[in-house]
Amino acid sequence: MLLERRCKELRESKALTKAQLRKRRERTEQALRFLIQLLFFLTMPGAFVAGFTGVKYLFNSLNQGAVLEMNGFLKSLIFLLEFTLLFGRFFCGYACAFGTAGDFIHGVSAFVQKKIFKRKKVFRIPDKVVLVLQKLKYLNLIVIIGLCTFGVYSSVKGTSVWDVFSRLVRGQGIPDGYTAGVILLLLVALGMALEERFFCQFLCPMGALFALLPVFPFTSLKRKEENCAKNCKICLSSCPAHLKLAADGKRIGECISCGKCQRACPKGNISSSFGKIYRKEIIGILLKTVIFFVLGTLSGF
Amino acid sequence: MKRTINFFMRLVCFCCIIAFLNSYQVQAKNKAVLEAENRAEIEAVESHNREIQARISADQGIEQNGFYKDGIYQGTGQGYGGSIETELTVENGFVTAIKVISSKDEDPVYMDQASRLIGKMLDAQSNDVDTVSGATFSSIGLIESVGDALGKAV
Repeated sequence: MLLERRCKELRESKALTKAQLRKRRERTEQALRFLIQLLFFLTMPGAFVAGFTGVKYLFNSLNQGAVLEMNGFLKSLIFLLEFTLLFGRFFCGYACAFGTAGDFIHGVSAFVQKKIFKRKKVFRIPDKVVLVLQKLKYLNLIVIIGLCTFGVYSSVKGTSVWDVFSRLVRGQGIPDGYTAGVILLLLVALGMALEERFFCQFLCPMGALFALLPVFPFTSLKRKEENCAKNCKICLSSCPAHLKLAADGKRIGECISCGKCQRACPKGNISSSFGKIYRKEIIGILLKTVIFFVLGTLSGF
Repeated sequence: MKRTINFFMRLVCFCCIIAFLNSYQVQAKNKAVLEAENRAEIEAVESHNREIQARISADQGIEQNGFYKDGIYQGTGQGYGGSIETELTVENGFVTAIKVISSKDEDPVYMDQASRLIGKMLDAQSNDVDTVSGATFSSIGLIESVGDALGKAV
């Protein structure tokens, strides 16, 4: 009798509540994402530049009527497009060095806001404003493509924040003629501190391109709307892209597959078709990491 | 259901773009073939001219020599990732070969692009060529390196 009661007490004191288990899983998956981002930052920081140079090369070639050569830039671009077509914007959420740097800056900013300025909630641009601002990156993409197609891109080359960033990441000095780029990069860094993924949401032309691509629904995240609590906005408020996953796939192109919504949902309503088959989303994330790392290296990153 | 329709609409657009690029590529290749034939004709006439020039100069006893001193020269330049070392071969006053000996810190993607300048520099018999767009710094490094070597050959 006594033994049974003791066993029961021990079992109950060690059992964690569902919320505590979820919190623990959230921290593990967050740590995993951070490690993967760090891995790609250290091993292939130039991936985004190579890919977008491919885009510029493509349209410059069209301008000159030149034969399209399968050079390294074009290969990188094709790889990124194919990967995103199959697996969604995993690149944006995990492998892009610029995005990772932005996440780091925002992480520091959030820490400062909470601990030093004692704010309860980290600053976020209101959803309605974000909806408009997110369209700017498409304009940016069109402008750059237009400049290349008419052969005049070289006049604005000094404004590329990516060129400046990729030199700094390699520990090299800033090249001549990039003063505008440096100033813009500082402004972008400020933006990243204010709003999570500021550049990715509002300015990134590569992101705009990815958002326009068809994406196989197999690995993209979906929400079980029937199970959602009325007026619950937890996924929306945790999403860097201010998305509330909808059944008709509206604005699904903005999703950078970071998984924050999935980790935050108290009812576990968010999952991908892949996740439903294989139970754990972590397996999907690790698989994508390996595939991207191997194929990316083969594509020349 | 709406998602699937959305996906297929985008897929169709994407395929149309690929189809367009393919037809562009075919056209561009045809144009390139014609251009190459043109250039081959021009080159044939020009080399004939040069032959005749050489014979005239030989008849008049003028020496035919290139601009540089014979020998093998090495040069260094600063590229995108680090230094680029090149080696030049000069025979009969003309630069006959340009080789990249080392470019260890260069991004292979950019270096591959910049290497296209080697042919142009051999044609021009100098390093006064335009950089390859998209691989500007690697191009500058290569041009600087060849310039360094050429400086030793005058």
